[in-house]
Amino acid sequence: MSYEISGPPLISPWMMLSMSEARTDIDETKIVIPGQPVCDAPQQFMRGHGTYTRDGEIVSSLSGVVQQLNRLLMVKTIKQRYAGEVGDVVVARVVEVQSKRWKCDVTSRLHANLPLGSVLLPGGDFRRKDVEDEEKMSEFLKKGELICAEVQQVQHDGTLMLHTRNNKYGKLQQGIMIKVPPHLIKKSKKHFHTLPYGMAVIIGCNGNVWVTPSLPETTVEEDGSHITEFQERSKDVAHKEVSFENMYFQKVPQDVRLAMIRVAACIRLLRDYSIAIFLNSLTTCYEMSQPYDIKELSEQDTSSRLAYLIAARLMQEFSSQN
Amino acid sequence: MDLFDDVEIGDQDEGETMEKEAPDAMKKLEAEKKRKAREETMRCLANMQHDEGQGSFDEVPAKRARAEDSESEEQMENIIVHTIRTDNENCTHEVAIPPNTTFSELKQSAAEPAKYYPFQLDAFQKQAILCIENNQSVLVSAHTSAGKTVVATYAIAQCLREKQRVIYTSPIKALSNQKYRELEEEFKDVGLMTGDVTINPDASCLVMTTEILRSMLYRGSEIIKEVGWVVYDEIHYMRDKERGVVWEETIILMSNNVKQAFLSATIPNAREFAQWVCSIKQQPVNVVYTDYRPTPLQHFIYPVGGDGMYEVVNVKGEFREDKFRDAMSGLATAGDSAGSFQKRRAGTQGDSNVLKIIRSVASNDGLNCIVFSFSRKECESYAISLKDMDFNKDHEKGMVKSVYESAISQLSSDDQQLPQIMNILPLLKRGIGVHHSGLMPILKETIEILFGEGLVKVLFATETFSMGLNMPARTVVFTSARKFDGTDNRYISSGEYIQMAGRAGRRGKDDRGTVILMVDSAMSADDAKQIIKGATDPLNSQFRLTYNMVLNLMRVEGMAVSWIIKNSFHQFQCHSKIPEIDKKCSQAAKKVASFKFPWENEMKTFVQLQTELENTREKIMKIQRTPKYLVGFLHAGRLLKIKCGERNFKWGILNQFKKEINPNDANDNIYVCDMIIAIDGNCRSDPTNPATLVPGFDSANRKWIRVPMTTERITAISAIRIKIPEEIDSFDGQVRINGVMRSAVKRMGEEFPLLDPILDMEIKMPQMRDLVDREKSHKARLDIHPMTKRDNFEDIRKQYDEKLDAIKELDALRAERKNLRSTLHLEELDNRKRVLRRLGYLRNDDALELKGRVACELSASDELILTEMLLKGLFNSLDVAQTAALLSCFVFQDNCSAPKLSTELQTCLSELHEQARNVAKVSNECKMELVEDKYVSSFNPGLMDVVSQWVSGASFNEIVKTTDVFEGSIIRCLRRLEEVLREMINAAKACSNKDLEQKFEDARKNLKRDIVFAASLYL
Repeated sequence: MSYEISGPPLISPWMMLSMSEARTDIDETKIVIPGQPVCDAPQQFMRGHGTYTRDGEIVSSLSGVVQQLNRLLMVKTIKQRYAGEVGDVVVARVVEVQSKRWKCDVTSRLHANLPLGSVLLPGGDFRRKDVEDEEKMSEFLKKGELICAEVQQVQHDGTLMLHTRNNKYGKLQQGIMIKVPPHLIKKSKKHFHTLPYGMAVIIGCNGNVWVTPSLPETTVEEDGSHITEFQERSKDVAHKEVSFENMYFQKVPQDVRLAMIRVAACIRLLRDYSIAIFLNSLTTCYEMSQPYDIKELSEQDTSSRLAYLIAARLMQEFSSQN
Repeated sequence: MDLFDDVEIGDQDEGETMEKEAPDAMKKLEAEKKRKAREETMRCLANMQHDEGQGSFDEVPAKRARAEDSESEEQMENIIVHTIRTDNENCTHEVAIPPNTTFSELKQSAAEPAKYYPFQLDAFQKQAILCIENNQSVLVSAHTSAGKTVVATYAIAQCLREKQRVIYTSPIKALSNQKYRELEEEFKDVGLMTGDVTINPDASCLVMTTEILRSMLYRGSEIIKEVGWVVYDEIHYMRDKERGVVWEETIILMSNNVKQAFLSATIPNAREFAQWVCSIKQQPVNVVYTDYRPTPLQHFIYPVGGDGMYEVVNVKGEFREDKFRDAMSGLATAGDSAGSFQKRRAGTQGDSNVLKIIRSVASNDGLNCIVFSFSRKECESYAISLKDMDFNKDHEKGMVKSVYESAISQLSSDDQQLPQIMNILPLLKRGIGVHHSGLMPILKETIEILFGEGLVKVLFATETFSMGLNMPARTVVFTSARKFDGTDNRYISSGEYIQMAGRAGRRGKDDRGTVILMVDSAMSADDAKQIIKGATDPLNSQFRLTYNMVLNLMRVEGMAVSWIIKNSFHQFQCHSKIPEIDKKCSQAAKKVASFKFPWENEMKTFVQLQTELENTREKIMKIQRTPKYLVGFLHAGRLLKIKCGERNFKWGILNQFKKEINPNDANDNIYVCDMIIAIDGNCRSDPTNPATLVPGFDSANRKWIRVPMTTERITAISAIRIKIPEEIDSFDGQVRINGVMRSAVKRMGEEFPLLDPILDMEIKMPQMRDLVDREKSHKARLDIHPMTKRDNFEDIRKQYDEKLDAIKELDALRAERKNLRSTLHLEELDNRKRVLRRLGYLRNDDALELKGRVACELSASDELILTEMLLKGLFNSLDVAQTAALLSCFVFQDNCSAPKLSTELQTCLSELHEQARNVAKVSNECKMELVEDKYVSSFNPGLMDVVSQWVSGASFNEIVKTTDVFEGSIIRCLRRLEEVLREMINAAKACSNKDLEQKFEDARKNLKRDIVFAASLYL
């Protein structure tokens, strides 16, 4: 095995942090550690997430930056475990099949729950789930399998309740999963993206990114057109009542596979250099990586140069937008 | 302009010949193409004509409009409606089929019916059940008493058999409670979810309010994923201004796999509704319509002060003109003594008449009877006025007492002593009841139960009683044919009449229902026919956007607000009107093109000059009207020219003037002139309402009356002052004014000398001099204009005016078409998003900020202001009672006298107002029009004090004494406040502030006690 030794990366961590737009407001003077007061005039402010009151003072319980929203003070950590919010799209791994629910790992503090009642039955059957369905639960989803779901509810202890709102969500097969730190995921209106390279990606808010040949199509499309069932899964599913299991294994052409691998490499690159991951950064990275072989993207020489260029481009775009 | 006209007409002629000469298909196609092209050119030309003045002609929007056009037509055409033969003429059955689906007959199910009924089903019930058995959505439109519940229960039974969930929604909580009780007895596996209570939420059949269902759809609740059918009761509530949108949202958001049953009162556009549902849900939707009544109705008119009732519509539904005339003549003789059209004061004058009616109803075996009136105070005073009447026998009195006592037994002994509760018992014992929204819910329910059991024989009720609850009576009496709807004292609509009159006639008990309409002023036969025999109100969309809706939809992926807008019934209705407007438009365009007369251009310049002159005069007048210059000349007796919109009152005499605060802007003063003006003595008009006055300066029978007018109505200030007689209303006074006026006109003609703005009024603005000069030059030019010297001037003028009118009409039609086509709400959505971004709820890329997440939790009230207040820390320094009091401003809507507020509450309120102003300002800047002062004053502090006391622990008896607000309104306000507090707890959670969460929780705990949250008797 050979080691490659190189100089320091071309961009500083702070510069990279500011790539993620949510953090543009980072002010180094407002960095706090646990136990440190977050403001001078506590009576004018309200304490928000990551703070508590001690002797009339608002004190941080986390280490991170102080954010102010009107009169609400919050501490946002630079890096933390995933804390879900209602409406988030997550990619999760089933860790346990329990009675009437699946336990899923969403890289959060606690495992999330996916109740049996909250999944759509194959074929879109609308009925009450009975004992028979309960028995078949592990046929739908086995331990270790991946699903894509929406956060329906956050319980008071922070446990996430998941559900599959429509058949855009559900079991994931055939694809590559890349884990990235959740804070790098930039929340946006859309997390399901069909990329112009013949493949698609689901950017889970919990830091799991799923690279896949194609997305299932939904009954309710963004533009309101009605498309029923899947392209590939087609109508067979509805008729034959196949379980999730052998739903679809399709042969993926080589160029699509290559595109997938390149996208996956891009995501890793963005992750390694702490650049926010969203549609634009991903496509920028993909386009700019074209001159290189896929395997080169993992070499530090190439990757650090590329990361610098990507970061600069994104910064430019971001500042021109504002 | 002439040129264009020629082109158009030439084009058209050519086209017609073309079409005639095109026998084979190819040529036809070509001709069609050419025709289309011509239409386009015509449209362009018309546009150019129209835009001539403004210069360039923009083609892009026209193109876009066309594209939209073809799309909408396509959408409309694809939905085909089939009529299915029914074996009963009283019932029609149609089905709307989505495109790409072939129509197939409904099949009689071979399987066992899901439910049997112990009686013979009516034709419409059979049809509706057939639809349900075939698993197709259905809209059942029938009168309230016809038995729509049968359809609902069948759908429920079928779902239970199929192991699907079924949801039953109703518009009102009270109705949900009642329905829950009914269904629970029948099916057992039934749950209830309203804002107030949740019982057995895991049941297969869930009764809920539509709001709850909507929030489930937003959240994507698991219940939604197991639902087979949804039954919407009283779907005609969709036309409610405030809440109608909830139904629309729910129907749009519901999954396409779910089947829906809509139960509605009779609506004329049932088919349109079905087409809409069909188009958005891509499934066949059946319409079963019947206007069959199991018990026919007889309509009587009782003229106030007359000597009896006149049967104007008999059992067969024929309108009897002769009887109606008799009734009106009965009124005419009594009219003078009754004070003609003067508004009746609550319960003084009408009493004897109501008494008479009830006596005659009672003696004709017409009990039990509902008396509808349109004011709560009136209801009560009528009930009290029946002092000497007793409709109950002794054993019935005992039953009343025991029902009453068991009902109030759940209240604390303190609450049992409340005046409203104590006072009602003697009435109830005599068989007299009152039912209106000012009553406490527990009393309302007690009275409903007693009425249902026949222990209340005469019930005085407001309109609310006619909504939903199935409480038929033998006789229904209307105490007035007019009602005040917040802006106007108008005749009740036929829809309202049908809904209320529909309470008459108990199925199986009476062979007919009797409806008596009390009429207190002359009405035309057409008006009466319109009310009694008119059609029901159509179901029109009341779709609107709210911030909460926008945020909730943006929170999750895959649901776009624009998608909801495009699928709304509003949009559908607009699109379906387009072809008709198009037709009218082309007709109007043709009409404009058809005008042909000489000297048009000269006439045009002449008219332009004239308008220019008028504009200049108006500008001068505007400066003259500014109080600075005007007030010095507002002497009593000065003659002023008055014009209100289109109504020209000509010269009037100024009596006096006074300064008042501008109702639209507290910082501004307006001057109100007390004018003596001439109205037409032949027309009846109401001096208190200036909008009804008919100008009568030139009328032979003119009458001088005093009317207050704002200074904007003055169009000329004369230099003349006359002496005002002391008593103008007297005959003598009238004659003297007439005399003075006549002699003035005689001496000076109609054009009295005016005050010169510069010489007399000494307006020294440089601008003024310019204006006066311009006026003079215009006048001079107009006088020597060649047009005036033409013989046929009048003729040309007339034609030109006609053409102008035609163009105006065309423009109006075009504007309407544009409105229909443009997705009005899409623009509003952009504006709303802009507001949300400005206030920091939404990021530029449409992802939600924390503020947006907070506002998502707040749906019961004004989400923006509440969020702003929450995050700006306004609640931090308040204690629990003050917090609740402040929030009460968001939920209280009744009128009441202005309360005295403690200084703390006053500060809270002004802070709330400041936030509201801020939001209003931002909204206006983002083109979301909002009248700031009106918006600010919509937060009603009327109950702040009461709520503060209640949360501090005062008893209900104590707080009732401190206010003149009805008990029922207080309870309703407190219950809604509880809902808001519950949401505020969630909002505080969303910004993870434990202190506030606790504060709201405490407020809610203190609020939720005693009689205010007494459980419903139906549960």
